[in-house]
Amino acid sequence: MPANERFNALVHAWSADHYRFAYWLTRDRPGAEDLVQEAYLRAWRALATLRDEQAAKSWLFSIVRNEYRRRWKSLKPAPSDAMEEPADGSDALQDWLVRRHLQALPEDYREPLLLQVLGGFSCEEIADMLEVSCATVMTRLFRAHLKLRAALTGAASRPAPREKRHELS
Amino acid sequence: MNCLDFRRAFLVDPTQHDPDFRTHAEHCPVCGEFLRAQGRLDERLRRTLAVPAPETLAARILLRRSFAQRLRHPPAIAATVIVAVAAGVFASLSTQPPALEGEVLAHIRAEPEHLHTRQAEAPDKLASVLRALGVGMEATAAKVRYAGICDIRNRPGAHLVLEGKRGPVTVLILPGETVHERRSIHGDGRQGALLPAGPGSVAIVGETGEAIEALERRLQIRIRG
Repeated sequence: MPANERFNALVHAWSADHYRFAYWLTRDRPGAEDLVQEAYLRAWRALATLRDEQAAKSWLFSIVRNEYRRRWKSLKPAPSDAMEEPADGSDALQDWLVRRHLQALPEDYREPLLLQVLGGFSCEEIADMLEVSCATVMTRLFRAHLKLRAALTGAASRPAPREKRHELS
Repeated sequence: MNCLDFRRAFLVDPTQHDPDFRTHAEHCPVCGEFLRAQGRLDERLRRTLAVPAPETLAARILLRRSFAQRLRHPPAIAATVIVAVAAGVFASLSTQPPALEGEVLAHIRAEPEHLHTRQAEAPDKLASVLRALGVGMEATAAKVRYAGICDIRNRPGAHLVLEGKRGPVTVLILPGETVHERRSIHGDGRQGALLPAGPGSVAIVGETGEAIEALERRLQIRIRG
């Protein structure tokens, strides 16, 4: 397949997923679009190095992540999480809380969570992309889900006596 | 698999289909209920993460690629860049709105999907958004197409889209963002106003020619301190 056609197919198949990933990394819509455009430009230049079409999705996710770490992260401070909370238990409030608690997760936890939920990647695939061990990914995913769910169910302030037994590494 | 293993496995990967995992969920009522409750949270997380991508994203990426390909012709590219930079500088000098007004327009620009909603918003959703933020509004004064809570300047605010005479009208209710007098908003082909509202402010922005003042009077938005 000619390079242009191959690239077009990748753009149409995956760019929306990469935008969502970039958005949750940057928390900025124009910034996310810019980041994805830059990442795809890099992907275009390196397209000849992509040998396995099956690996295209994770290859592109890695490029977006690298571009974020290389360029964006040093330029843009993370938004302050000193946000005030609205005061009832409605659906709208729950949606807002999910966004807020997701943003408040440490980046080490947020990244694998995003790759799992948005990318549908397994622990092994995420470990390859983040260049850490599978056990580390499992621990980070466990803690990310636990923190998020505890916060959303209002259990964050309660003690978790058995948490030690859940440690994976 | 015991209950602790089950919960640990779930929290590593909520979507897993391991047979032992499924068997435990079927035979342990407590973990079965845990799975259902966590499944609802998981669904909410997926829904929240699924922000819409800009419709023009793919086209813009391909345009950038074409632009990069044409780098073999540097004089033409240089001329294009000079014209683009000059146009950008001119545009920013001539239309840059003041801070909060600019952020209101930027927020509308950043969430264009709400402007295209055609269905009426559920009255319960609107009521819950207003209640959550301590806002009073004459809700029957306009047809509401969208109601949600957004972060604006790191504070939660209400984002409403109403049906106006000339198209969608965005209302951003900003508790904690005080303004002392009515200020006009112009930009992006839109017009509106930023209004004092007790301990906060309200932005009402519609298409050019929209009857903003009439909406201001009808909505009677109040932010409780």
